[in-house]
Amino acid sequence: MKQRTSPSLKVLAGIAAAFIALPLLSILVRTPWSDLGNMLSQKSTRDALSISLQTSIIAALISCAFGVPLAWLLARSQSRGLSALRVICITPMVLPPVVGGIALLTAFGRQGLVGRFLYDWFDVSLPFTRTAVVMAQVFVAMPFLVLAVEASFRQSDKGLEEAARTMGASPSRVFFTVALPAARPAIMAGLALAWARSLGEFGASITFAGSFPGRTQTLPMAVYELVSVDYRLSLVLSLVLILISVGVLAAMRDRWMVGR
Amino acid sequence: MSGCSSGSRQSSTSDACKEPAAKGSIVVMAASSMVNVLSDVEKTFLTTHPCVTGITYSYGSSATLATQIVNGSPADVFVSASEATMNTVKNADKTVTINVFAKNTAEIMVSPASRFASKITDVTSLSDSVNSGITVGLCVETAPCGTLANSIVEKAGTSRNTIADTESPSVEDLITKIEMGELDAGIVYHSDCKYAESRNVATCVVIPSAVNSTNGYYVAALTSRSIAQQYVDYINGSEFKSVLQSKFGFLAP
Repeated sequence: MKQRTSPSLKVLAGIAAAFIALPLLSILVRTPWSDLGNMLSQKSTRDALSISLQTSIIAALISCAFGVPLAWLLARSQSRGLSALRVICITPMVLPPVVGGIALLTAFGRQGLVGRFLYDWFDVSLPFTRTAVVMAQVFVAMPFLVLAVEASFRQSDKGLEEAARTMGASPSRVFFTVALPAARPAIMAGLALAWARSLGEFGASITFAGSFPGRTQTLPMAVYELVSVDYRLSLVLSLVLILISVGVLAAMRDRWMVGR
Repeated sequence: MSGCSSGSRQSSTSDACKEPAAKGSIVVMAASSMVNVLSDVEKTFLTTHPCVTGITYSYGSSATLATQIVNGSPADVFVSASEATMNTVKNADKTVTINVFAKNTAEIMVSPASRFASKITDVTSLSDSVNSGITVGLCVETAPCGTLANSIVEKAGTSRNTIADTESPSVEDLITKIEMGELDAGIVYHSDCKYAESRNVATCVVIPSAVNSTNGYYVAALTSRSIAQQYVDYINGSEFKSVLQSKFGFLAP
């Protein structure tokens, strides 16, 4: 059955959609298509693209490896102070990323609370390295995965877990054989979100990891730097980022369509 | 003496401000190596120029600021750290008159916390092949301080890629990271290093003139407002230039 929508709502909705679609389409229109292949094959472009892909994939996997257990703890533990822990863990989602970068410097920088010992005792200096890029991405992206997976753990059937436990399964066995498979769709969605967020990370990375072509410069950093130097190339790199983002959403369309 | 002259000046300028258009606040976009100087003289300027009720500063790399100005960012005055970035603005608006008011050289700024502090003696000592594990920052190539650094590392017989571990979008960013101790050293302006050294947050290693280069500082009014021109005149004036040179270590233009 077709639902009727009021015309004035349609106009407002149209304005909202156009406001979002227009800037994205403008990049397509302005992209120098004839030079596209040439620009994409430039060394600086390929470097930034490969650093971006490499760091964001590693960051998404790390977010998953540590974020899923954290989500499980937040969803199941009865401990006091858990809501405070949740607030802290998802703060990076609403924090300006550049603040995250400063926070990472104060913790893991060479003069940082932890970083000082890493540097003095083990000669490990984290800032301005590829590792720092990944750390900044995990910092901002992991909360997205944690939140998605925690929601799924909360909604999942506690009866099944209870049953497994009464049949003698250990807590870790309950987690791996019952809870984890049930949360699989949410974990995949969380992975995709964390990956997309890592790929777009800019503020925390440029503060904590700096921007050096071929070492720490990711696609968003290259776009930022190129805007004032080579506008056309910055358009091409923007296009690449848009296509990847749209690709992620398309791959997850089943997830977004849930409830329809 | 000063009381008398400033008194007469006050009355004449406040007359000139009677027209509403002649009074107001201005927006100044300035190279980040100007931040200490311009905030130092702000109070003096405002007292001697009552038509100017306030100044809003926007600091950044001259290249970034030039792009913002060309793309329509509202500003009354542009203070840039290179001729090239000033020309970007002039090419977009031929009516702009530019003026050079100072020069600067480069210096190696060293973090006192650095374990390499005593080993940094010249530009080549910044490379990993001389001091293994040293972390050095340079400004991005597009920023004037990065252009300056490029010509210096080339004259010293090395390269940006050999020396730099990270690139900062502006000289202020670079200085902060050295002061924080996150970087061992970087190539910054002589004036910035002297200022940091006076606060004991860094030490400076002189780059010999055979290797060193200079950059010019340019100022231009971007609007025809008389208060914008007053600011430009002040920057070009002898009083400001003497502060620049005696207190902040800039060179005469």
